[in-house]
Amino acid sequence: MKRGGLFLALVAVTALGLAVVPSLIINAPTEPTMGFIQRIFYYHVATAWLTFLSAFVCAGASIGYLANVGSKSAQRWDGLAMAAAELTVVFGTCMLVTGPLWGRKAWGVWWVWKDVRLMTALLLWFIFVAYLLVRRFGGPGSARLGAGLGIFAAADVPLIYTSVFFWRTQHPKATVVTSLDPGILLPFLLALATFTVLYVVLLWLRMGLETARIRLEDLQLAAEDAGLLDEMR
Amino acid sequence: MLGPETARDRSQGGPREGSFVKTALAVAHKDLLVELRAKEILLAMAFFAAVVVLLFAFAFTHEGRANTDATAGILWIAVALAGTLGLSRAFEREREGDTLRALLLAPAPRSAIYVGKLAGIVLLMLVTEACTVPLVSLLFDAPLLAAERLPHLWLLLVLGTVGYAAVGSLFGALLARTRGRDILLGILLYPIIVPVLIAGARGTEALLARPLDRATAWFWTELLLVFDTVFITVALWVYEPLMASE
Amino acid sequence: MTMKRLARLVLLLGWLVPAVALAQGTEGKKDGEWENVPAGAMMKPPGESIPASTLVGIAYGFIWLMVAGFVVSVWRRQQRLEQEIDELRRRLPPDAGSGVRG
Repeated sequence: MKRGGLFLALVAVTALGLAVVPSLIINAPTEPTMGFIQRIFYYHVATAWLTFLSAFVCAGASIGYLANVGSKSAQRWDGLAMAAAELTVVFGTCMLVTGPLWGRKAWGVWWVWKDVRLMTALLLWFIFVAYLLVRRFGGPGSARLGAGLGIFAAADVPLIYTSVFFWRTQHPKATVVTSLDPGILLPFLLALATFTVLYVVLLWLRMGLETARIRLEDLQLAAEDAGLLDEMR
Repeated sequence: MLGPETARDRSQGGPREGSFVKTALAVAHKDLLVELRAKEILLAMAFFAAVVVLLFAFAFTHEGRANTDATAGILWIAVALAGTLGLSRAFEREREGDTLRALLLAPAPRSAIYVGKLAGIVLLMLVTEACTVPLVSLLFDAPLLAAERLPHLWLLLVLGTVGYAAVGSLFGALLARTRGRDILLGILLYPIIVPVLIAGARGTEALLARPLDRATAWFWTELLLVFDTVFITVALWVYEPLMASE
Repeated sequence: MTMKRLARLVLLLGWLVPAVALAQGTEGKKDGEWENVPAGAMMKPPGESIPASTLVGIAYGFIWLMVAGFVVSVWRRQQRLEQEIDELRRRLPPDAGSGVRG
């Protein structure tokens, strides 16, 4: 299988990145105002990037699903949307846990209400947890519901951002490193790239599950045709 | 029952009975007629909103006076909670009679059906709000009924309700086909409509300010209009393929 | 299986609640207070005693725990599906599954 080779290459890149990037991060210069805690930044920003990327992958797959409703490929689009939604929650949780750890040291509080980035991230996380709940408990018909929700989640991100932005007139300024030291920038970019490849690997892994599920459904149909299902249930 | 192909053929080739607006009006009229006969949803919603406001009044009363800072938020949360109640009951009713499927098979554009349902729910919610606003005004000593504030408040409420119901009637219709719809509607709806809730509550807060902060109120009103446009556009765009028959 | 899950959930919550309580014990600045504080002064919040390296360690550890957890969960679900597929394959007559993809 050619695809298996590509997958292995991606895994190798991730492994290499994961081996190299931490040492780069440790050796990176300590940011003068924030000190050691600033090192959360490398992974925190990477997980935040993946959360939003994954949310938009889910929305894209939902659109793909809608465009193909009724045809055979719809199931694969739906599988991709589902996989991306799960990863949104996984990386979103990482982002929401690492953020307060940083904020505690840098701002003295775990959480700041009304900060636009925090609120947008939190609400996005909530929407995708709702997505998973719907897919888990919705039963038949939840695929369409999920597609609608995926699209609405993506459309909602700018709206949430706008509303929270204007709600809050003061913005915490000391929190984000605006001009990055080159010694910080390189490990940061590498961490970002490594995490993105890791994301593709995880998405791929999760899609394998959908392929297996489709195969199982096909087999179940075949079993039904062969009259096997009656004795099984 | 007619198959999906037949229905689609009919909607394209057959004689179209009425335009988009006519269909939407017919659907809204039907919903309101059913509701006026039963009065079930309206009474439940209005009473539920009143109970929520009362609960908030009890929770936030401090030294015999209600906390007036929270008034705008309380009004909007009461409306949002009552709206969920109305939405789930409205679509439960459709499901019981399997009438939503029949509606969708009718030779009419599906988006018109969506707009009709939306209009019906907005009207029900506005009646609920008409009962809630005086109550909030009374219990929290808020100048909501003053002549220079009331029209603008209604503008905010109408826009907020339209945005809320735009999302609510899409997901309500989609949920009608799934298991566990009663518990899922709130979970889905609230995170999505947070922008509407923020804009509505902030706008109302500006209206409640003494002296009246007209500029801020207008700013949030305009933002609500933008949110409504986005929600309705997206909803109209996805309603057709999502509600297509299996 | 379900009882085990329930027990795990209770254990998790049992850990979380004291953790949150502990975290709230040390008061941070109130909302609105901290915005006007100069950047340098914000670095040392009152009563903050957790060393930065511990926080960074927790953050990094947590991310890897989540990713590992996700991989394990996908792997286990995959095992379960494969099992079901094999089960069905065995039961089906050899020619019946010929039209099946994969």
